[in-house]
Amino acid sequence: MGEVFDIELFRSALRLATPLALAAMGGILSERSGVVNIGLEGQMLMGAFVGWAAAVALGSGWLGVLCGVAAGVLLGFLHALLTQRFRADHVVSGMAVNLLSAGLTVFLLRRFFERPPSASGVPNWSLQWLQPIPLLGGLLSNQSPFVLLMLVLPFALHGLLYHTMWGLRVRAAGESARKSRLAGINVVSIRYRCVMLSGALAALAGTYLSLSQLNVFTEGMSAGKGFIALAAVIFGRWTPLGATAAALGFGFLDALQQRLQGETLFGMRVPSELLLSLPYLLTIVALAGLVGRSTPPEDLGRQEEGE
Amino acid sequence: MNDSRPVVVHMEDICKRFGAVQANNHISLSVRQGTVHAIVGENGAGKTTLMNILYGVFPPDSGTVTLYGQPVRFRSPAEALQAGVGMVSQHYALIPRLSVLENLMLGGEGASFAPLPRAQVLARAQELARVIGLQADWDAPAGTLSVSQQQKVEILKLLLRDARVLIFDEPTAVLPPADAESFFALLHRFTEEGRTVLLVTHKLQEVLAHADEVTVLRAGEVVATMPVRESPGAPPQIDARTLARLIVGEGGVLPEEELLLGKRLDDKPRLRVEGLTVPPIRSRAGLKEVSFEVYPGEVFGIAGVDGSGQAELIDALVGLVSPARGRIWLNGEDITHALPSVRLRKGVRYIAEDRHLRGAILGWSVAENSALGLHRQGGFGSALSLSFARMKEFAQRIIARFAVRAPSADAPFSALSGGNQQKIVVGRALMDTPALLIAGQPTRGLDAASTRAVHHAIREACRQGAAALVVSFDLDELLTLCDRVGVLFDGKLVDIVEGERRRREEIGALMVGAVKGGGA
Repeated sequence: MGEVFDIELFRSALRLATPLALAAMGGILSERSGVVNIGLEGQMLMGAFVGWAAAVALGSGWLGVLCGVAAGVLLGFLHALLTQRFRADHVVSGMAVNLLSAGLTVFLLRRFFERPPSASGVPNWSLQWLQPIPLLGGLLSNQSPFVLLMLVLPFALHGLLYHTMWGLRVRAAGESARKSRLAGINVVSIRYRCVMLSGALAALAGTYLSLSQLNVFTEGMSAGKGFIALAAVIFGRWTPLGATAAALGFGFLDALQQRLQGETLFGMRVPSELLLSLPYLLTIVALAGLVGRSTPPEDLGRQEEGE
Repeated sequence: MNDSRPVVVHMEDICKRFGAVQANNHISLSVRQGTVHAIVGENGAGKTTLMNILYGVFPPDSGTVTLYGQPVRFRSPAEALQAGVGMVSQHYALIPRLSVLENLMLGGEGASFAPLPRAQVLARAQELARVIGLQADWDAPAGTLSVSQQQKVEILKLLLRDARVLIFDEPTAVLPPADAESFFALLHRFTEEGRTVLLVTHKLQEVLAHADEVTVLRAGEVVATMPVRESPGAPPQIDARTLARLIVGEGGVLPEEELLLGKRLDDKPRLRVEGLTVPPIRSRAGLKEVSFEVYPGEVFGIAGVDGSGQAELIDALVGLVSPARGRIWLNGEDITHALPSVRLRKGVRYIAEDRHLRGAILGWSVAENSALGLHRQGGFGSALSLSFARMKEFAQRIIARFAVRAPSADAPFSALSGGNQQKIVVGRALMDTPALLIAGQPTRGLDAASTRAVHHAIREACRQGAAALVVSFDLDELLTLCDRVGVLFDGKLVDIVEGERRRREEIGALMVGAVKGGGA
């Protein structure tokens, strides 16, 4: 058992947590403004595809990321349009985004790529100067820039949400649209921005999958990560730092699961299926509220009464 | 006439229609600087609509608004606030889970991404709080404050923006008497400072005691605008009767003086509560060792400052919460832990204090809401089939008996005005004489005629053999309606007053824990 918990396990946990945490930040932005975004999954998938396809076409990983994020913004705009302008149910609209992405990415992939080529991805940052620092050097040097972003972004978002006027307005919009409007806040505009930013972050998480982890797009490669990100949002009680901690927890379980494949535990072979299901089991625990009451923003997903 | 004061707000020929309802029909209104201008009228007369237009919540269909002689057209409350017009609405606009300070900063000026101006706002707020007599924990969630405190925070919010025109929609509807008095003292202070106040109210005594001018609306139109007094502090020139006449129009129903007291129809209590103890749910007090009895034929009132345990008492009686200790008997039968459905079957009916939250489903029709909760016993069908015809017929009976203004029984509940919604909820509970009526603020936000109708309906039900328990923050209501009044203070039933002691001063003192058993 001793060799299970080495530095590589934690490096791998960071890598696996990255898409979850990035998408979770998107989820928080959207939900704090009052819009349920189960479209994270689809936005992530679309980001992964567009990012990869653009990187193939343009020959640059970073340009690919940019295009992927733009696609996420578009999907976010679609979700905002459906929920805010046309007052569609948030879950239905989010599901539509997911189905659209699942279908469209497969169609485009098969239509334009006979055999998906490798894209020029986003290279890891070596960060030589970090290496002498114990632990930190081992964990963070020669990692993807996405991993570093994942560790910084929550603090930025925390500052934004709790220490700026903008963040206050976002939180107010999520608590009560009617009262926020009485207080002079343009709720719809806030929600549009938050949902588009949410799409951007989920898509960014997607480009990490296709341009930093693998450099290739495969069908359905988001594989439920958008939903786990949503669970992290709930686990973390709609706070950036909490959700990131939850994402790191999920990432660690995932890494542990991969490490334990084929290992024996107390003289027994651990069934890999059981290990594979660990993060999902924990998600159910999270959603069932067993980690303590987690209260969503009061107006989350609620349509406003018409005048 | 004191016409030297300049007109601050002038609304000219305002029209506003919601669906089939002409809420405002060519309304014109002029308000002079430094005055309290009262706006009165029945439910659905168009008062709140007019104020919402002035505050930029929605635009008028036609007509103009002039502020300090300049035509304005506010597209949002933010623009109105910028121009110095602020409103404290009937349902307070504070966001419960944001802190008091965050609520104060909300909607304020300031760059989006600059750090929140906590220190500056706090300093100014503390200064203003001293002026208006507000003591509050600035970092506490606004929802934990008492109603009076929340109202003061709302006022503070307007003062922070230096609003010169202050609109108050039913400001004293849920305030205990002492707090209402200090509220009006504050109003006069504002007018002395040169601010202008628009006061929407149902309480004619408030108009006579505090307003300089009054505008009466009826069915969306101005019936009269007249001065109440020559100058601030002078005695009123008009009386309540004149005003009430104008409000209801020819042939309308005037407000009641006092209903006759009821008679106990039986010596066996209908409801007996003993040692009832409920941990705090919606208030901070909870309920502590409360015992009392309610007899058939009588109306038993519960007085007390908001948050003294009323919510817990109601929840325990209707079966939404199991008490920690104590017993509840209905007709001698222990129902302490019975389900709400069982209690409904035994004839317990509930008029919820918040009809939107607990009393009705807004998206359903009037007919469906009429049957809500009665679907098991009202003969509205079986488990597998519902008789919509029966529901409609039942709804039509309620509509007829309580003079509900509804387009039809099929109309969506949300299309009704607040007062008419409440009449449906009350009618549902009283159509078939209940064994026990639990009523939480049954006339909250109702006009005089509707209030009278509800009171009469409760009285009539009791004459027919019902027992009623009425929780209200309006002392006048309790004194008008109730035979005996129990006073809650800090979760304890400190006294039950009846006969000689059933007086305003006595109850008011008990409510704040001033006498008998208060501290113990």
